[in-house]
Amino acid sequence: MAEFTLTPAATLGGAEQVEEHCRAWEVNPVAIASMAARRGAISALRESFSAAFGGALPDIGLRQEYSGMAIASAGYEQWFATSESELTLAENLRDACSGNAVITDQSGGWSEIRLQGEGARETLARLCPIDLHPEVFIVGSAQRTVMEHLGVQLALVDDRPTFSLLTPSSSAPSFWTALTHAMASTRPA
Amino acid sequence: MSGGTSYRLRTGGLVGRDESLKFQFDGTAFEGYAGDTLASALLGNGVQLVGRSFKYHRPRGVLSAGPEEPNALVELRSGAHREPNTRATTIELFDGLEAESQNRFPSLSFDLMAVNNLLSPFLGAGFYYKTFMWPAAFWEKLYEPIIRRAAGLGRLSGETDPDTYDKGFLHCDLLVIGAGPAGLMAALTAARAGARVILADEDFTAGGRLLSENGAVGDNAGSAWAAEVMAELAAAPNVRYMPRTTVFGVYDHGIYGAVERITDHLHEAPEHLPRQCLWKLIAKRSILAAGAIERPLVFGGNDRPGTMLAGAVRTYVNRFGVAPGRHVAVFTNNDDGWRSVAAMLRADIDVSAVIDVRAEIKPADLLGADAALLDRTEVVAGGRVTAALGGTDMHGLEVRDANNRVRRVRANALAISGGWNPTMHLTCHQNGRPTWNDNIAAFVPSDNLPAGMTVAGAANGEFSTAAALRSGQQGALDALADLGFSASAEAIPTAEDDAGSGQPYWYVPDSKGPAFVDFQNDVTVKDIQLSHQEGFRAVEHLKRYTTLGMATDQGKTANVPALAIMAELTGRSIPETGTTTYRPPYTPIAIGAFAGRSHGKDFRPTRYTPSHEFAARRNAVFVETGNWLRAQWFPLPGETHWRESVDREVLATRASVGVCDVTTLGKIDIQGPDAAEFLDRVYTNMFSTLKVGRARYGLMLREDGLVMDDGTTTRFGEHEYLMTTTTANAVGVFRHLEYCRQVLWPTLDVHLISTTDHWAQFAVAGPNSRRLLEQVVDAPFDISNDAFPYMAAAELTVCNGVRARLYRLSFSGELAYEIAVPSQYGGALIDVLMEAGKPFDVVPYGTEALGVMRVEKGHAAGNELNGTTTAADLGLGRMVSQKKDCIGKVMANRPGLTDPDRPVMVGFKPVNPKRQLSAGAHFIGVGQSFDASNDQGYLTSVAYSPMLETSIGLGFIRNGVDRYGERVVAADLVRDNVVEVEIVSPHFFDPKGGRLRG
Amino acid sequence: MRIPCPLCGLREHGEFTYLGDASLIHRPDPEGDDAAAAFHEYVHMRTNPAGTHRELWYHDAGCRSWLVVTRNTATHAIEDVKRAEEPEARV
Repeated sequence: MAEFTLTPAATLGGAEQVEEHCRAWEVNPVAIASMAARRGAISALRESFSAAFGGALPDIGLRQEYSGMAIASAGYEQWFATSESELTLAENLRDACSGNAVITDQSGGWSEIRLQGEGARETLARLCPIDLHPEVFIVGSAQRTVMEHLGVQLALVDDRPTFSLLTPSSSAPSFWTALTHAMASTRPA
Repeated sequence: MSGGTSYRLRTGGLVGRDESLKFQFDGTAFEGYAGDTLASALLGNGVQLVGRSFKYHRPRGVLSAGPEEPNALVELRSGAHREPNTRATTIELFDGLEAESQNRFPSLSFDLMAVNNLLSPFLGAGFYYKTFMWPAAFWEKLYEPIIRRAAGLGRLSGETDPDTYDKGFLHCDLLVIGAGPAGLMAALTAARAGARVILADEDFTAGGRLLSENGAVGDNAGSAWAAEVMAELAAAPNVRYMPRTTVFGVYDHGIYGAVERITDHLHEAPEHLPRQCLWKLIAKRSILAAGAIERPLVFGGNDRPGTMLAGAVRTYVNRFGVAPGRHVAVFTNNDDGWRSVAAMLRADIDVSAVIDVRAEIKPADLLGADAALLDRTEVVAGGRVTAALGGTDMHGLEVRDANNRVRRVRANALAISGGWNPTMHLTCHQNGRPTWNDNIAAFVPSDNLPAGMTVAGAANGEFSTAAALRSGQQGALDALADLGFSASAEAIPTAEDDAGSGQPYWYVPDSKGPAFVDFQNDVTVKDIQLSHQEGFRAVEHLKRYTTLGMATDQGKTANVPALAIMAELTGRSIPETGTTTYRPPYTPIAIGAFAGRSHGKDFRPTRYTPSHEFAARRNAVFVETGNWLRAQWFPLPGETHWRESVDREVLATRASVGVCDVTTLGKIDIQGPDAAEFLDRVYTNMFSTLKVGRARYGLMLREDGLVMDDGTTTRFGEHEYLMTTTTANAVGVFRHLEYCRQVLWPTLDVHLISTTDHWAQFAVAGPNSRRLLEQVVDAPFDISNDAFPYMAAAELTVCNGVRARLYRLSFSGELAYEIAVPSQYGGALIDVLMEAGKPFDVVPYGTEALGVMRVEKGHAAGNELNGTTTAADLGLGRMVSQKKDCIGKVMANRPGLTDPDRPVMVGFKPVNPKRQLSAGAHFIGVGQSFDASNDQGYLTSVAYSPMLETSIGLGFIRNGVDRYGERVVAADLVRDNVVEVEIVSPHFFDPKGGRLRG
Repeated sequence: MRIPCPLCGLREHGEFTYLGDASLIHRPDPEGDDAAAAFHEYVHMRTNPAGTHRELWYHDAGCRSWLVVTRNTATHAIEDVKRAEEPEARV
């Protein structure tokens, strides 16, 4: 009979860094799940997703927020969903879409960091090879790219601006170091 | 040190005369003004001698006012911050600046190495090749130290670079390179049209030549127009002006390399700011408006301090308010040289003589109203300078006039102009070759420009200010039209529109003393002649034989004159002679800037296991495996040798129970109706027959038939598997599987996603592992041997409801499990496992003990799966199913891979158990000589087995399985370790495997 | 280089992993009579053109699509990019 309990810990310990031009923090807790359409089932998946969540699956390059959940495209007929409130996200997706999609819980695989503030773009310019100009990378954009040798799923949440950055959890400390370094080195003199 | 008298003009210039800055050069204190460069501040203080040349240690002064400077190279700052070979002409003066001259001993004015100057007849072209040839034995002891002592200009600090650097990416519609008249006009045009513009300029003040010239733009001075444009650009949100930024390279598809000097102009930089930032600029279009570089004229003593390019003279006079000397002569072959005459006359500087190689010149035409100021100036039309006289400073000139009469001219400074070369380096970075333009006697960019680039202004050979403004505007309009912006040609301000003319003239044939073509490398006309005489007639050969155009300035002032002289010697035209091309970087870039943030422990990302903090608390010694940091062993107090810790971990695990973090193994979630079929195709063995809730060891081949990777794969559902890969191959195997899925069999309905980071996974191994886990696994799940036998797997909950996966797998050969929870629970789980294991004296064990136990069990790992071995070589031949195809199966049947004489994996034990084996040793028959013809195989993995109390190893040897009991010699000649060994079964410990099924 | 990924847009080539000649798409029939010869050809024999080349790239750091990139090896000009799964890429 088990007498032990396990307390989950945020990868970065719930880190936060505040500079005058922007602020970064680790989102915790966050449930993350990946979803891929079964071969030939994309139309059916779109229907079952809409029926369950009341909105369309986002097209390539985009991210959508529905009640308590954000879902972003992550490749060809693939998505990454995140939720701060629905910690059984993978099951919810499976309940709604299985048969038309394969779903994998990724909650432990990635860490989500948010970067917010007027200096966020200047900070990300030190790390991110893709163009984040507000007219190019509009609110609701989502792209997967590489920063500091690490894979990152990047999305623009709102026009404050707030960026969501998902990065593999094992290397999240290295990413955090690079991000906070970039924040400091772009601090207005 | 020459000078001492101030050459600063009473008025004029764009420097901030009310802001005085203190600095030191070679330990002497000086003052300059805000807006000065180090060069202008030194000249302002009358310092003309600033360096010694590379080979002959000849005294040298400031030649230019820009990045082309070959002479005025200094060591900037001190201590670990010292940076050698920085150009005094581009260093922005700051309060507290410290610089030292280079390449002199003991002092700049008295340099012992200047004896080389007397040896110059022996140090000519090809000196290195001719001198340091033989005997070979002299190389290491004699030649190399000599070369090392003499080579190089400045000194490295020898310390780690203490500065920080950063990197970044910027995107734009139009990149404008250079903020002179053409660049400013282009940027302004594009900014007004609403395009995203980056204006990058290597100078710290925008304006380019407008800061140096007397001519007006519109109704104002050129510099005032530049300031006005900059004010508008600064207010435009779509423009990013990047001063102190050198675009140094052009790469494929609109990528430009640039370095921004962020704090180099500050004495004390704020700690958070990087010294420099290396930018990748990604531009849809670019306009190169880099201006032009003036050519020196070549004559005897043309390197004498006080000799300066005529355009640079205008810069010092007009921009910095500094005279180049007390009495200045001008030697020119073109009209532009006369602009320097005018600039100096207007600034009331004594112009002692103007020597123009052209006989038919009319000063009144060239100078207009300023000609009236020529009353005290001697004009020598059709003349030439045959020598600049003096030592560390200039005492005068020897001049021949049109009638070959020799005369002396009074001068302590000389402005020289041999015409201008467009600065088109960046146009050549994508294979473009310049073309010769006879009208301006210079190379100009060809049509083969980097995609998206337009060249404007002087960089394109359009030398007048008005032409620069026009071409800048036109270049921008063309680019804007391409990009879909609507823009119209607005009125261009009026400006001087006469590019002037000149007469090609390269060197003075009858001059006296060494006539330098390349100042930085001390290459003279004689060297070029010698090189030609010795048969090095191709331009590229000339360059390598004489070192012309090499070193930090890359021949910016030297290449074209050298080429012209070469052309004359070979009797060919300049275009026939050819040209060397230009490669990045345009100017030297600090290595630190390329590293950016990525140095020290940040050189590459680190991946941490979920038990990292636990391991650190337990004083684990960590090892890097790929990017992962893993606990190698966990030393206890009192343990002084790693073997003590590792032996203890192995013994404790085999005696009771041990726990090891195996999170780093690659994990790939494979789902879909065709998952089973897919696995059958990528693994040699069958996975479609695997029952749900069971795991199986799988072997994967490359298409060429050699082993790629191995691991266990578990079936969690009809359509759901979890594959594990080796730590090292996790990324490569995932890529390979996606290749199989998308490229080879796109019709299979199967989907892959990596879950390596999702699962924190621990091996719990040893006879008490079940008893430990019973306390962790939630009821009613039964992990008894009957309910959960070897190779069983299940999804379950642990510790009151946390979802987990449990596998009955064993790498150690013991009764063992692997338990996985989502990584956020991993740190807590390791603590629980330690707590639950306390009654059994549980130990954490590291990768070292893991390795020992796997060698004891004869499991192949990375050292054996080394890209040269087949399944049969590993003793796994029967794992290749004969019922189906798989990747690599056809090629695995090649004769070379099925040769029965191939070395196969077996075990090895030293005959004397006290001897230690070393991996990499080759097997030789006892009594045979150590040469390759007797080589029978090699030892791949070695461990000390605390169970067998001897060193043991795995390796490959011919017919090994049939040779158990035979002795051979394991010879490691590199480490000088030769050990007689016995060939044995690789299953050293518990060969029947009874323990793991217990 | 920048490669126009059909899903992600123009991306730096550092995000991609290069494999080689796109003829790898057409894996020979392992049951064929000439399987050994066909696989030898398939695995080892490549042309190395200075000019247009169809090649396989994997968008590792992006959408994880295998792509068929038609690229001029002499100029690096990229003429066409398709996902390897698309029938048009599998000619």
